[in-house]
Amino acid sequence: MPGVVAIAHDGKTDGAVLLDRALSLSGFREAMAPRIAQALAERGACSAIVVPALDGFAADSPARTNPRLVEQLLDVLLDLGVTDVAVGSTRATAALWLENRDVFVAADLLGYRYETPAGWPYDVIDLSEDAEPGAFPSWGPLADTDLSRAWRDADLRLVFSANRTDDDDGYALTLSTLLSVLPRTDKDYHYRYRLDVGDVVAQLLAAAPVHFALIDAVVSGHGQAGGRRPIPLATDTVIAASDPALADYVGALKMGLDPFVSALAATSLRAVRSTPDLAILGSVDVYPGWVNPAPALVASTAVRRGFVTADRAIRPVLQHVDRELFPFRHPANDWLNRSLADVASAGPTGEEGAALLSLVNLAAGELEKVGEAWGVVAAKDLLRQSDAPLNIDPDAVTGAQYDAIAGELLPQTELLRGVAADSGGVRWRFDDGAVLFDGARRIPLPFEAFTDAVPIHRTIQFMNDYAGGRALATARDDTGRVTRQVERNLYLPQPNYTALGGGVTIDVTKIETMDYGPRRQRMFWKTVRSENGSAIADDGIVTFEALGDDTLVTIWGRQHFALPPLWAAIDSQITADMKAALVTEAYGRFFQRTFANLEAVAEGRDVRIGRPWTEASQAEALPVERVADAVRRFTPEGGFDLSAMVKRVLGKGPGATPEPVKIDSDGFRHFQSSGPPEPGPVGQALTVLLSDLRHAARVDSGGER
Amino acid sequence: MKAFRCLVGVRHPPERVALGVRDWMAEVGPNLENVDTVITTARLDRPDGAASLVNEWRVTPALPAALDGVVTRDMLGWLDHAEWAADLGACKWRIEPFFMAEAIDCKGVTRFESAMGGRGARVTFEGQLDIDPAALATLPVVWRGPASIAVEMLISTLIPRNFRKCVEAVSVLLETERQLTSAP
Repeated sequence: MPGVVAIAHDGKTDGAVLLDRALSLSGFREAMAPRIAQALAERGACSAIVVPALDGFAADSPARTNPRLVEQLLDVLLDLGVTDVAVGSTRATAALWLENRDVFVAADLLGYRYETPAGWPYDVIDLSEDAEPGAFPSWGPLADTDLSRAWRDADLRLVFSANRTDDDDGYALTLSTLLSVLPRTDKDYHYRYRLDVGDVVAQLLAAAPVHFALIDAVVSGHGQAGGRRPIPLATDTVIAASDPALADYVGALKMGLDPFVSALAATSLRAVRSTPDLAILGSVDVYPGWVNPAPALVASTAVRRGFVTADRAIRPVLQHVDRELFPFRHPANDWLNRSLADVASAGPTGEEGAALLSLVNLAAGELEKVGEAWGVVAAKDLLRQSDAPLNIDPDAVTGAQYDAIAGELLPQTELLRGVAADSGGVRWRFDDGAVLFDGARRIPLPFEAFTDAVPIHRTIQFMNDYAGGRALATARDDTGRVTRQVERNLYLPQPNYTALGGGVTIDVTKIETMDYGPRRQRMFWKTVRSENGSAIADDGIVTFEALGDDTLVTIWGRQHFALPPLWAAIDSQITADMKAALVTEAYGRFFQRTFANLEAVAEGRDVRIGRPWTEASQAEALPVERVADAVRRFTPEGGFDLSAMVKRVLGKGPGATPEPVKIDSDGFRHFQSSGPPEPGPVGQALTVLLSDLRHAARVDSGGER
Repeated sequence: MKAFRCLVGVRHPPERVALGVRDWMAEVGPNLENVDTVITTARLDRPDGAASLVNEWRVTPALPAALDGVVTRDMLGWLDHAEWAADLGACKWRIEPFFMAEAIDCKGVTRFESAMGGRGARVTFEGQLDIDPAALATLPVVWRGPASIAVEMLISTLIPRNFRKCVEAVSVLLETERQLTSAP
């Protein structure tokens, strides 16, 4: 079917009519009919799942798809012959900090009646409950992710989003709503912080394509605060499209946005931009009176997301919520939200709050950069490990490409002939901007024992400053040893001190071959891609050889890393001797630590640096929970003095007499001397704030009620 | 007067949830945070299906140091006087704390309504709390503020929180029961 997007707009009618018009205009019924007929012919049944936006935090929120329209769509499907219709979703990140966000309860509170207007019952299903492995390719970002069996098996998969602005992506339409198909609760953590959310959505679409997508833009949520405080605006429109990316493309145009502003949508948009015979039916004029988030807010929110802990702490604080329906789980969040949500979305369309929040976001981002640089240079175990999936299709790598690697690299090893080794046994020289280097160490372990403990195909993962990545074996020998693989590696910025001036993580994707002899094993790798442009070359050979009762490990490499502007400028100014000294020092350290790592691995020790991401659906404890736990652990025995806090909070009334600090057994009252002066208004405000925070944290910790 | 409200949604029919809340508190209560025991000290089942119950709750919250000597462990708890409707659709209740009972008037109603197309229940717990300032006047001046706040916290925070957890725990029990009965 050629791509089609239909835009039904009419300010003088209601949503039901608009939906019907959009479905008719887009040829929805005609497009669905063959699929339904096929399912009925094959199985005598046909199932359809509609995934709506359940992101509303109030019953009539424009951030959620109007349940009446969703139910009307279910009736249309039933009329077409579908035998089993359901509304599907999963719990989202907000379920970690709000009550009643379970799919069934949230759907009920947001207005789903479990019965269509025509009186047919339907079910609401939690798509995490039947999630199974195997839906996604083993090399992609969702390799370890399950997917709902019901969603995969549905004859018709439909997404019906709300129409709203969003400070993460500029807009949140059908592709954003599609994320709610994925099973893990903390979607921000698992699909946004850990992974490239654009790749996630693209893989999800590839694994289980959506057959039709709709946008409920009858009453939209616009404004600078996006979903945090969706401001209703009558836009009297329903959009229906044969592909969710097409729906989002046109939906963004209607908002007056460049559709590619959304990192979540961009990858999928590129895939449909050249859809042949695409028909866009209806006006793509911008909605009158529409206000988008400022570009600075979207950009700064992306910066803030880099500081995972801060982002997880701040989101509950910013969200406007109907507390009666969705009370906060943690009193500290409740209290902070009361104080700050309005401030962060202040202004008729949120513009004042957006300006303030942009500054806060940037400050959080800068803090993260400082912390990251400090971690790279001085505290590597504080850094998060990188969770980088493969970014090339392993099936696209030909046998000829693998076979060519050794022949290309081995002659280059000769280029170091005649170069004197330094005191650490390292040789190096420049070659067209790259550094050719090698080094060797004799490890006092027999060859068999060493190679059993250190699988050669994993050697790169044991190298100094390896920060994460993924490898996928593409061929094995008769004994199961890996002979070919594709691997993506991330390393801390090299040299580490470049992190202090814009140095970026080295991100390289390699194809690799291994050969195994009785007394020698070799691994060859060649870089074929650098996602962030951090490397121009990073090729190498590692050899394990039997040498008497020991094992000789030799590493040869050709590396050319891109320097950030600051370091490039410095590099161009320093003398050749100084440059040589820096290279010698850098490779000396690399070899020393890499060989030490290999010895450690041979001894069974873990050499990975950094903190791993958790696989738990609910991710790590929320920052508010960790603070509460810390308060509980560090509060002195006997708790804190609520009375003193209350007095500080309430202050003294006019004419109040001083209160005794103690009444002794004889009835004498003891008073505090006049002491230091009372703090000024700012001091008092800070005291109150700290007291309240401490109290709220104590309540969260269970130590106070 | 301080009003409070708590809404809990669960995936079981309202009658079953109401029965669980009415009859399983002794089992569910001690599993809740800061709850020591829940004992039904009186129960009267009427012929029409209505019931009157008195549950004695003993709780163990961490207390602020300022209340040491004012509130002792045996004062931490309350009697829950409940009047259950015959159709289990509502329960009127009154809380009688062990501490400052004469100063406190706390009562409300819990409603169990059908939701999710009959597949679930929406349970609403709402009440109001009045503290008599005259009764507080019998306390030493330094203790009045903290005592009043402690009671308010105890009733308007701990009780609704515990109620939510009660309903959720009943829901888990119902789920376990459902799985047991549906097992082959």
